[in-house]
Amino acid sequence: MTNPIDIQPQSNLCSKCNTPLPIHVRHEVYSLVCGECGSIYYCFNDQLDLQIPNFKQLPISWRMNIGISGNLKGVNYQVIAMLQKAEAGTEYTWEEYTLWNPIHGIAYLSVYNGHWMLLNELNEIPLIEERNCTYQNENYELFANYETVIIQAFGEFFYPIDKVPNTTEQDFINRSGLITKEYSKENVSYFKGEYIVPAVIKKAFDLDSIPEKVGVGMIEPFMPSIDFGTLKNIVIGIVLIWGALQIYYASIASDEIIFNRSYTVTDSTTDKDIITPAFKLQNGTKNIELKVNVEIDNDWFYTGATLVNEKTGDLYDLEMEAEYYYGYEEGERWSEGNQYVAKIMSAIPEGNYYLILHPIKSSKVNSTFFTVTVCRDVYVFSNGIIILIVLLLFPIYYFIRSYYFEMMRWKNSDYSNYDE
Amino acid sequence: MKSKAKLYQLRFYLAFILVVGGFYIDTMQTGWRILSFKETNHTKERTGHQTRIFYHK
Repeated sequence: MTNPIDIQPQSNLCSKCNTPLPIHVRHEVYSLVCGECGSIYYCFNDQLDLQIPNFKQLPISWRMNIGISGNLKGVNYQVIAMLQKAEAGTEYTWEEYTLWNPIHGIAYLSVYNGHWMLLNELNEIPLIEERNCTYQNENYELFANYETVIIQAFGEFFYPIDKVPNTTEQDFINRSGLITKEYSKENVSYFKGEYIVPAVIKKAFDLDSIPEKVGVGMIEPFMPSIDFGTLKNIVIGIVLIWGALQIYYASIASDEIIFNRSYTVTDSTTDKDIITPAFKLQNGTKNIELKVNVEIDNDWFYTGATLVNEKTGDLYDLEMEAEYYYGYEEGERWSEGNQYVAKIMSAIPEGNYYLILHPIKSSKVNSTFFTVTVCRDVYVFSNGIIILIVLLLFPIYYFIRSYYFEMMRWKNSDYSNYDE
Repeated sequence: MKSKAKLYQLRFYLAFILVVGGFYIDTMQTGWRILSFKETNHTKERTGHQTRIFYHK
């Protein structure tokens, strides 16, 4: 553990209820509140001076004990005080723990609905313009604007706790954190806050239990292990590289016609094989596109096509079906299908090949004329589309979930830009 | 958080991109059309075409 706190607290007893009142920060403490009866003491030269009236100590479902220590963000803090605050005129309450380290000073740990924030006071003044705040080149949006009241307190404070005026707080948030402006007639303070995962708090302070999370926290990150901006940049990178590859592969595809021949199928030749002359496929392993253009009129045509490697005997089978229908119904022209069909045979090695065609025509006509064309090295756009969809599945899922997460977060704000 | 750390958190997705990207480049180099993997039947023996039965209007 860094910065160990090994200073023994000064021991005192509450004069009203005899509860121990340890002072951890000693000479810097201005006021002290008993956690049992709410008595307020001012501290001068190690003497306690009882003040009247005291805080009413109200029941809180869960709270951290004063004096426990824990390591947060590499700093060993001790919990020296707790304030329970409320939004004036509402039932919303939250707890704010004061953390102290002899070297790093004071930090605040705020918990609302089981969501924890670590806040540090800023030495600089952020730029605030209406509903926007800019701090260290980061923009924050106004999330909440409210008046706070201290309901109860206990522990040690560096100011007269019973004389703290009501303050107005403005919370500005972005995906990485929060800037809070806290002001009253006498004072203005700015704080920078970051979300702390509840499990981290539990582990850091060695707590048996912590409050259950309810809803989405004001600055709770969606999938904290993934940075939104980094994922966005990766997606832009994927799309740019994908686009460049599409242009590259489209430009190098030769789309060369290797074979082109026409045939006529008659009643006597239908359902019989046609063997084409041989043709040569070159340049390694590439695809071929087999196109069949056929003269059909409100009719169909089928041909099986087998590509045969003369040397190895390898066979590649395809089935080609074309149908073309049209008409005029209820005052409208309609048509469906095409007078051609084109299919790709993938990854065909170079060599000498021929085709065995097995055409079948319908019995409606006496003969059907068709043309077979073989093109080598055809650009396949659909591969790119499939790959792009596969690559973007996770970012699409992330961005949609993130959108709904943000919507849930901003449901708690009066300044939401999301539609109800 | 530094950019390296942010990228490290997405290491599994980056590895996925490399694998899928490599597969894509391989398909484009060999002219393999992903959608037609069931269309072409590659065999050593001719088994004869499955002649379809058509039902037309």
